[in-house]
Amino acid sequence: MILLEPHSFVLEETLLSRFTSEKPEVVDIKLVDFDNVIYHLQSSPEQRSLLTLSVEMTYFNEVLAYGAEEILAREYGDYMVPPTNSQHNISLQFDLEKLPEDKAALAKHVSLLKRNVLASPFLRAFEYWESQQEGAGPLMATHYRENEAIYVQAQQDRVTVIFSTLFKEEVDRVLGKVFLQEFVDARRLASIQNAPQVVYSSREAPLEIRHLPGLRQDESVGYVSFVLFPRHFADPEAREKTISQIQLFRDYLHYHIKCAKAYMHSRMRTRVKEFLKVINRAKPDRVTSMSEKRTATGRYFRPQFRQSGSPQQVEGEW
Amino acid sequence: MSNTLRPYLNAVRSTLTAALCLDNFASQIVEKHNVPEVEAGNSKEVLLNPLIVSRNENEQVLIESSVNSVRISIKIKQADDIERILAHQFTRFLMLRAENFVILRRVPIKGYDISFLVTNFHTEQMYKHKLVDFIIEFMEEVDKEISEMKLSLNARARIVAETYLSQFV
Amino acid sequence: MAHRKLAIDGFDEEKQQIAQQMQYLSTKSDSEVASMVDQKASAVRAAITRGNSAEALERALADPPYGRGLEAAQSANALLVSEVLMATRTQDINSVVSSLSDDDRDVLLKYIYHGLGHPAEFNCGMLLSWHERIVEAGGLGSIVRVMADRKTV
Repeated sequence: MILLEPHSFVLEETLLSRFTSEKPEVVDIKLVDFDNVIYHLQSSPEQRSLLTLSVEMTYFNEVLAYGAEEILAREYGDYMVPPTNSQHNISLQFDLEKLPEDKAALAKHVSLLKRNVLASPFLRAFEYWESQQEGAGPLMATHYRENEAIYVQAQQDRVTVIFSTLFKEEVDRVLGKVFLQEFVDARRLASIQNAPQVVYSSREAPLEIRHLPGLRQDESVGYVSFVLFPRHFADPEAREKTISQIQLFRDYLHYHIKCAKAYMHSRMRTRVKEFLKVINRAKPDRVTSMSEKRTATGRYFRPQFRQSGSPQQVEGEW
Repeated sequence: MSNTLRPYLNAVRSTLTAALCLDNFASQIVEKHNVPEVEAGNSKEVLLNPLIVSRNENEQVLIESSVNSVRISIKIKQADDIERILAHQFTRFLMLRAENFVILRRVPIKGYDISFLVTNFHTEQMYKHKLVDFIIEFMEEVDKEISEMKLSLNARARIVAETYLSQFV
Repeated sequence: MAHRKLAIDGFDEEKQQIAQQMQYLSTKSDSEVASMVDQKASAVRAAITRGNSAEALERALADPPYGRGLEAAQSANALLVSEVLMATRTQDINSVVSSLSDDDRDVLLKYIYHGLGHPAEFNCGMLLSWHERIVEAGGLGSIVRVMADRKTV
């Protein structure tokens, strides 16, 4: 499967199995999602029917500023409770006895939690565009990973999304360049002429964010800019789809770089096996030193010492 | 440029066959030691002149011979960044498995990408013409493999980009 | 135990001198050799323009500047030889090779390997096709003689 999915599959499955299980059990599970988001599923022994899901997100404070609170209230208002301890940013509580009919839909909805939270800067930018205010909107930065960030800015006729991504190794860097060059060139294909425009620069930050302090601008960092046109976010359905897709860009890129490396690795391994076959052809077949010679009745000769004279005859069958 | 490939490989083949006349030769410096003279390089009189066979500036084979060993170093064609890292990964992969290959050297000679060391013990145990065959086939296959990997990488990149961007339309 | 980290034999003065002395020392002086090469050059080029490749090659291969310290003369001579090789037409190569004496063929092979060792200055494709023909005529022994001869060109 080429595309990554916006919801957390493992969270959805775990929740569904908890929701549909016959007897509520005590659970304490930790799950992880992309971008270092940790989910904590707990239920205490005293109140087994209350299942608490707590989420740790390092960038939650930034996203709060862009209206994450409203989104959470809108989507998960029924289940929200104050966070259980200081490390958690969001907590949802489910009463297993009072769940709605369609448990699968609820589980799926909850597994989109991260996606909905990270959607806040995008939604705000789209609202800014809708309000048709003059000039460019605010530049919203979300440092969703260590050393990497997403910058969103709305303008009058478009919304620009800039990713800064880090390539730790030289190989990743070169592969990343190949992939990103294809992204830039893809628009020439007729069927996707309407896709967002992609611009890539390998060390220098794009003009829109150059004024920000603390920007990394060395060999290992790359900046990718997406220009989203109104077509991509004017109507609500397209808007949701765009948000889901664009959030996953960095993970998608790195996932495919790793797949490419794995593929090359397996090719090299086959090639090495071929070479080994060729060189083993160079070795002449040797007669094994313990070659067993049989007499007609079935007795075996066992050569005791190779240098000395006749082999000793061994009685009996083997 | 491919019209020089055949003469290039034939020249390497004939030079290699001529160089692979190896004999057992104990070390002249240390008693009871038997060392590949081309690696030790202490006794100058048992070393022969090194020969280079090249197809162009980027593809060369250096053949250093001595009385009991031959060192063959190959420089692989690397036109751009991608080919450079592919060649580097591939040769590193091979050199980590040098024990299986018997005649492969774990570290290439400076200025070259991969090196082989063939001693008289190897020629005693293996067919000489098959060893030469192996080296020639190796040279051909490596070039082919690198260009194939590059092609598949480009194809993969194109599909990845198109799938992603077509989601927006 | 500091001395164990150093390769003592490498620092031995005598050994270094031996390595040097093993290279061939020409009996003629540097300037003599250089002037010989220049004199040859004009005769060779005249033969090339006349279209007589075999003769040009023989003149170019006569009295090669062997030995150490004669790098300039050696590269000049090598360029001269490669001029002749390039001027020869492809169909003539076989006849020229067969008209050479055994010694001349070995010297020519030495020059071919010299040229292949400097791919920036010489045309490798042409050198490789000459290499094939010479090895056909002279056999693997000629390659071994190139490797074993201390008189490098």
